Amino acid sequence: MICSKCKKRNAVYLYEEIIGGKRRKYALCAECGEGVKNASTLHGQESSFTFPFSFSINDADNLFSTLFYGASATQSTGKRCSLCGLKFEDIIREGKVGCPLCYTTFRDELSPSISRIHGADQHKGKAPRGYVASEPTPEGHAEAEPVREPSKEEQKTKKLKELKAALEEAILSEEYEEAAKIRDQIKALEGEA
Amino acid sequence: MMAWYDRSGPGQDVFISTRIRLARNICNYPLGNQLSAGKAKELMDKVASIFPAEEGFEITDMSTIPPIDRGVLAEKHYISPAFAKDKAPGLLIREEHKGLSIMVCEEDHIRIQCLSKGFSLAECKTGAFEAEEKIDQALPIAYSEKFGYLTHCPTNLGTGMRVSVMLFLPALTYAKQMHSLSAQLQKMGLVIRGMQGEGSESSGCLYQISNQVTLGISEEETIAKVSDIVKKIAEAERQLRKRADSLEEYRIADKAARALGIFERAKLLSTAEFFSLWTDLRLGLAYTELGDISYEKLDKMIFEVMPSEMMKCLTQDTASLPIDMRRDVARAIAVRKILSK
Repeated sequence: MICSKCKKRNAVYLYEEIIGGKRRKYALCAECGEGVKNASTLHGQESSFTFPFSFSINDADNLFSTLFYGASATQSTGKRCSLCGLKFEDIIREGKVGCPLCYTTFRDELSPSISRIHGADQHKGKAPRGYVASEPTPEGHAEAEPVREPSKEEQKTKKLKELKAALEEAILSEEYEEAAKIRDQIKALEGEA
Repeated sequence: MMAWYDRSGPGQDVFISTRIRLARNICNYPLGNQLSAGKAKELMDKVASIFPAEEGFEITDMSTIPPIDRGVLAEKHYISPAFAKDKAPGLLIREEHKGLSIMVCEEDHIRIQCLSKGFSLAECKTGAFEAEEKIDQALPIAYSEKFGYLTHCPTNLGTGMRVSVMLFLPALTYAKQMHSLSAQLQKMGLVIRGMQGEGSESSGCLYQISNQVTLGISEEETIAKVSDIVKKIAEAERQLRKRADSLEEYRIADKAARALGIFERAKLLSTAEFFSLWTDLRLGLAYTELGDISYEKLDKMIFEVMPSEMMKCLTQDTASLPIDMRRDVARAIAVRKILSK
């Protein structure tokens, strides 16, 4: 059997890990097996190789480079993240992204590793204030750039600005009834906690 | 101001402390090595302005702090050991009475953590999310519908939340239950570690239990899951302690009294010996009165007699001794001082 990590040498170890309740087995060669033992884990998670209480921060730093194990540089298309300039192979090597936008740029490449780490691939829970879910695109990619929609606060400020401009215009054109209406709207908006 | 660890909390016989940590990043700023010093400065200024000193926030520029003091901050859990070692620019924002500390430019742009004594997840949740909301109002937090809060390392994606509870589990440790417990926790998506990671099994029978998975599980579900499991573990520990017969109880009380004797008289206390005696004392307290020894006093020790703090307490009269010995002298003095308070 060929080692499932380096895909070169013959496997001698059977490595087992349980992440998020899911059990996975890997056959590893002597070298990769030792590497995993030393790094405590294969994917940055505690594994059956290690004594669970010997975790140390130094180890944690190194072991993340194995996070994207299984993802190979052949997936690379030379694409770079427009914000941080990293390529997918840089992310594999570091085990970490270069900026939040990398998750959009390399979404398809990163998805399998992320699913494996968490045993899930869809966020559940809190979202930033005022975040508006974007409509799915025809390709089925619901992902917008990781830049938020304007928050309620920002929307309110914008609306106030528009109303004040309209008020000024109404006063200038001596449309006092209209101006009074607008003033009430401004008061109501400003009164909102 | 009383330090966060210098208080009492619920369930002290088993629970030492509770922590909730949130990882957040700001849109359009690179992460880690990709973040230039200029951009980091800009980001730190922006975050600092959200937490003004006038409102009681204490802001520390980490680059002005000597390595030993960074070590002390890590020993008292205000910052992560990685942040203590990091030479890149960083900022620490603290609000002591809430047990709140915010690291800026750690692995993620912002790491908010709320610490409290004993078992008090609700308090930590409130503290952490209050601070998070302030940031959310002021800065655009990187988020995607699919991956949730976007973090430097994919292991924190989703809620970006790590809930950890530190427990004192001598009975389960002595009954050799920890290994099987660890395996069971793993299956449930939880992880167990020694205190601050540096501990071995013998380090005070202290364990940190936290959630491993952050994607696909909501904040409430995570808190409920950790809460449910640590409560069960605490119950198992208490049941096991109750099973001690009168003979065993006498032995435990004897061990505790001897440990106290050494604490009161020792000239040298290494970290290893300290933890071994500390465990005897803390377990003994569940069975017997030990003068004016309290859980508060004992727990204060594990945050105040650690190596970095001791390096700051070396006395002049020991100047001719090797450094590790000087530290052990300082520890013996520090322990006595806490006992006598």
